[in-house]
Amino acid sequence: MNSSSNTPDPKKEAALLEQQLLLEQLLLLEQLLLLEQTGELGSEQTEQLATLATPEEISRRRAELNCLTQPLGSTDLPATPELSLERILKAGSVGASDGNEAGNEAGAAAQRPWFGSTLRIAAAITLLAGITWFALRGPQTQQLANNPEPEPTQSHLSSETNVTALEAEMFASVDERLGDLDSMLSQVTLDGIDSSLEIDPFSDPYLNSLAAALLADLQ
Amino acid sequence: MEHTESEWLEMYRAGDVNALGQLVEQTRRPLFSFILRMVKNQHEAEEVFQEVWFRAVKNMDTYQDRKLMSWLFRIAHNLVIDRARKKKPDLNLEESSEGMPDWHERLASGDFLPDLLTMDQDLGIRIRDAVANLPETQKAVFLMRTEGDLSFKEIAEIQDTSINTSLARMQYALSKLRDLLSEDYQQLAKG
Repeated sequence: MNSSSNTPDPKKEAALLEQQLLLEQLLLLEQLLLLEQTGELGSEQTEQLATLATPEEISRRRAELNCLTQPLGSTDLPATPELSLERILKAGSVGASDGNEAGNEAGAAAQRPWFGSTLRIAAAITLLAGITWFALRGPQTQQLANNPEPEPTQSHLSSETNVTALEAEMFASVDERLGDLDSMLSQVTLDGIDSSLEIDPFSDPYLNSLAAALLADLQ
Repeated sequence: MEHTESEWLEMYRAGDVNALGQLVEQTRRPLFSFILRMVKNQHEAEEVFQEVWFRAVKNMDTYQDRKLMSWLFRIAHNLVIDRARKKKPDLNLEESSEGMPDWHERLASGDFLPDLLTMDQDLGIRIRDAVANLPETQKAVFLMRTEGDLSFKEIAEIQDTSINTSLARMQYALSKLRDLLSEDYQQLAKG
């Protein structure tokens, strides 16, 4: 082994030590300036700060930090039209009773009340539309049994040419009822009181009465 | 008359839902900015933002006398980490020595101090782009500090660490920014 290579060089060691001390001072200076920015600098640390560098150097470092740590600005922030207060309020009004803990991430999207409500409302309208359609088809099927004709290729509901006066009256009634339902459901959504829709849309007495009225109209 | 944050909170708790709107509006920009820069996707950022407020509203009754922004950032920070872990289950969110800039040299070098009087306005945009390249924990500290104006004590609580660690992460972030923006610094030093 070459023992001379292990011999410490006092001058080199002193230079390294000096460099290390300088570096530690600079790091400490920056830490203190960072704490100064947030108002977390204690009185002792304030005194310490003054001893670490000249006032000019401190000012330069402070200015550079201020420059680097300024808020990044909102120029690149996209508009957030989906983040409406109604949604958040609705989230709160329904979420408060749904028993989920704040930390429960699983199924978060499915648990969002507006998300679920939209689906439930869509399902309710679809079901009612389905009931209406089948109710309308009923008399027509009976007619067809008495007077068999080829099945029209167009949807019965969208075919204007086949609409009789009676059917037109029935459609108007159905449209009116569905309009009522749509309006009512919109109101429910905005008010965030759709708890009755949580389990079964048709468990709601009002919905049931609407459905019954629809069927009564169609019979 | 302008109300304080705690007054809005009290009004909301008393049943004034419009007060919540004020709180959302007051915190929207810094909170959404933090989330967007962390998740880097607007759609995902909107989801997280909604989720933050969803959870905040649900737990508003249990929210104690703390700084609202700090609480919201804590929720957002946790959600962002959860999502990152779900995307990359083996993701190491702790500090990594890889990619660390030679911050000792950068910090010690006076040549990298910019002349602020001639600072190019575009530098802000380049800082923003450079921030996107920071390691996650450092970026989180940097954004909570600069966007949320949180104290290092609050940041340390959110990240469940010590103030010294938060400060060190901030220093790493700043040093990395100096490194990434070295061309700007050198140009300004020459100019």
